[in-house]
Amino acid sequence: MALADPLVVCRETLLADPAVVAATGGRVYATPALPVGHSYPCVRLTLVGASGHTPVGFRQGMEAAVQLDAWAEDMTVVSTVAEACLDALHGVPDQPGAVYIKAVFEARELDEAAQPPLHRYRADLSVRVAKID
Amino acid sequence: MRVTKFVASPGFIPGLMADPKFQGAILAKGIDVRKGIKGNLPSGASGGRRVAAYARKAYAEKDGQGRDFRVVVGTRWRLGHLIEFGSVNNPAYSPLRKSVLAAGLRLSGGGR
Repeated sequence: MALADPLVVCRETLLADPAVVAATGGRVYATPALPVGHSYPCVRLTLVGASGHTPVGFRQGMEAAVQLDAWAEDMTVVSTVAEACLDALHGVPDQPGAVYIKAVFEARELDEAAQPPLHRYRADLSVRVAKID
Repeated sequence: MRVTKFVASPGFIPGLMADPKFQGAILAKGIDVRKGIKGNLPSGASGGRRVAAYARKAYAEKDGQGRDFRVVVGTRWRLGHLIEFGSVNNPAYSPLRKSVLAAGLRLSGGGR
């Protein structure tokens, strides 16, 4: 069976989580550019790279490098969104169709040039997407 | 039953890092990453001068001595972070990270 698109799986996983939907209003995008007229807070997923593999002790699946960006006008809001997203993506390993995070490298910044100024949370995620049976 | 106990050589990694042959091989890998950047950038109308500047100012060079040796790959173009990581108005093209993966290396955040 074909492997799922890691971005689609990640987005569906996030949108299936009530905490993420509550924090973002369902504004989770997997497109390179954010939609015109979008509002905040919002989340964008970008695929950096992916490869299928079959390591020992792991169901055949895919490992992907995904960049997760969250933007909000308030620092506490962006933290809430980031926490909800990471919690949602910390799935159960080796379940069919499951996505789970192997590693996270995160950064926080303030875009003062934006009007209003935007707080950004960025995480480089190394995720594993188990094969869908 | 006899059990063989593995004892790691404490001098192995520092010795390897200080070996000029090893350093040359790592630098060659870094140059591969630098060369791969251009191929992982958007071309045509979606590219433009910004993208060209990112690739033109890309570098791979040695840094540090002995066990602190490392190879640094990046770009000296001052807006390179917008191409690599994107912003609210820019897609994250991530050419450097894509090139790292394309060179068969593993991405791990945080540096050292």
